[in-house]
Amino acid sequence: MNIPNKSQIFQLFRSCIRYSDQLKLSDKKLVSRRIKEGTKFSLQEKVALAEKYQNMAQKFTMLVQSLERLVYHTVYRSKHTFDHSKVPILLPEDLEEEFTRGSGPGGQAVNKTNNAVILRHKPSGLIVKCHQTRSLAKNRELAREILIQKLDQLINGEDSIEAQKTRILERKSKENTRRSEKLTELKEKWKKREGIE
Amino acid sequence: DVHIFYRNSSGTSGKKVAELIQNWTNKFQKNKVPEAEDSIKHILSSILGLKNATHLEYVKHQILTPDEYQMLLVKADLRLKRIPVQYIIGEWEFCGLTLKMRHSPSVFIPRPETEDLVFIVSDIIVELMSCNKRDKVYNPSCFEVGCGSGAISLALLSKHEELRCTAIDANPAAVSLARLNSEILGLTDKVSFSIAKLEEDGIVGLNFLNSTKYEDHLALDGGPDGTRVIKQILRHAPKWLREGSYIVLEIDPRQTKTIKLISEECASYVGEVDVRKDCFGVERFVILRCK
Repeated sequence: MNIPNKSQIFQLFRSCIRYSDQLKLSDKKLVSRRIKEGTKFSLQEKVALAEKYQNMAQKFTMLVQSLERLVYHTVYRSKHTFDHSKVPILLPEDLEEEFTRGSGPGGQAVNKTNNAVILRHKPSGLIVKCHQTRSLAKNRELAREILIQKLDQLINGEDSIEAQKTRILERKSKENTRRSEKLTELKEKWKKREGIE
Repeated sequence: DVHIFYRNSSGTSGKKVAELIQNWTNKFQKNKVPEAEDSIKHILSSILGLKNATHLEYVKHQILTPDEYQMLLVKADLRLKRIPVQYIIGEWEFCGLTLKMRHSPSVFIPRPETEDLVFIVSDIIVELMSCNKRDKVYNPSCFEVGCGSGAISLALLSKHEELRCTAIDANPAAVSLARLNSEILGLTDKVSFSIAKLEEDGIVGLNFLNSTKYEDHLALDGGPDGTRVIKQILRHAPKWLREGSYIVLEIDPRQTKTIKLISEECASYVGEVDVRKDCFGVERFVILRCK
């Protein structure tokens, strides 16, 4: 807690005077008198003012921060937020991978083009086969993503990400049909009013 | 569902994709071509401009144009001569990147095991960079011996923004192919490829190597050169690398014993040689740390 020094008090005084210049409804003389009174005070009062000043500064900072958060959420938030809290995590010990190997002493000398991956999840019995790309590493990555999606649907059912997406899409399409139906309704009414074209 | 059948009077009968796959698979199998079905699928999908063989499912009723059919005949013939599919279609994927492949003169085709090498080196880079944050010293850099098509360096660069790579290969065709790939991927300002060869006392052809010290690691594809290059690297590389650098080699499991012996002989390495298996369960990689 800092006790304001003379220059700070003087700055406060000046900013109050500037503020009072803007006022249209107050008695300016009264205001300036009150300001002058307020800016000469004892040490205790100075301390009290510093505390008050600091509290106000804190409150102001907090207000700015909460405003920023509000703006951030409004600008950067995606229109639909999904609940990822229940999405399952894959544990390496639960997984079993299988790929086709080249034949040969080290296996590496032989060139092979088949990079399909079969990924098994032992606890649930789910099996994913992926050969979407020509890169083995990429197929392994994709297989895991697909497995998580399937596991999510199996375990969480309605709460899975896919189910959430379907609900949002259904809602959107319902809204769209409602809007287009309303639009045709309005068009019909207008046609009737204007006479059939 | 409407199927349009037509016979071209010049003799090339337009055939459906599905039929062609079946016919050529049989023909390849009769000729004992390895991976018969995959071969024709990769060739066809490449001719049709598809991203992958699995997309052929969606076009199985499509009929090839005469030009496409001609190209198929040429490429299938190459495959009958056992030319690798990657050379026939001129490209391949590695760690999610599409790289051009060159057949004559031939440049080594990246293997799926090598993708595991990229993961190992990637982890080391992450580790070194997290140490870096405290000391704020160097940006990670990487030196590759035997870059081939540039696969390893380019894959690493695509995963790590701050990484800079230097790579060499004794084969000029490899260096030019690697440069082409780096241009296609937009990574030219982060990597330099040079024609250079590993000799007993150092690297011939690389002038600046003596003045700069590299921090990280050497990535080597054991490939056709075998143990000779590995021995040279183990004996000489620590001189060119900073303290605490890593050397990561892709090897054949039969070489692990020799590697352990040489590294002990040199006494330039910290601790034990770390041997790692690839995704097929074969001992494929060794990691050494320089003093």
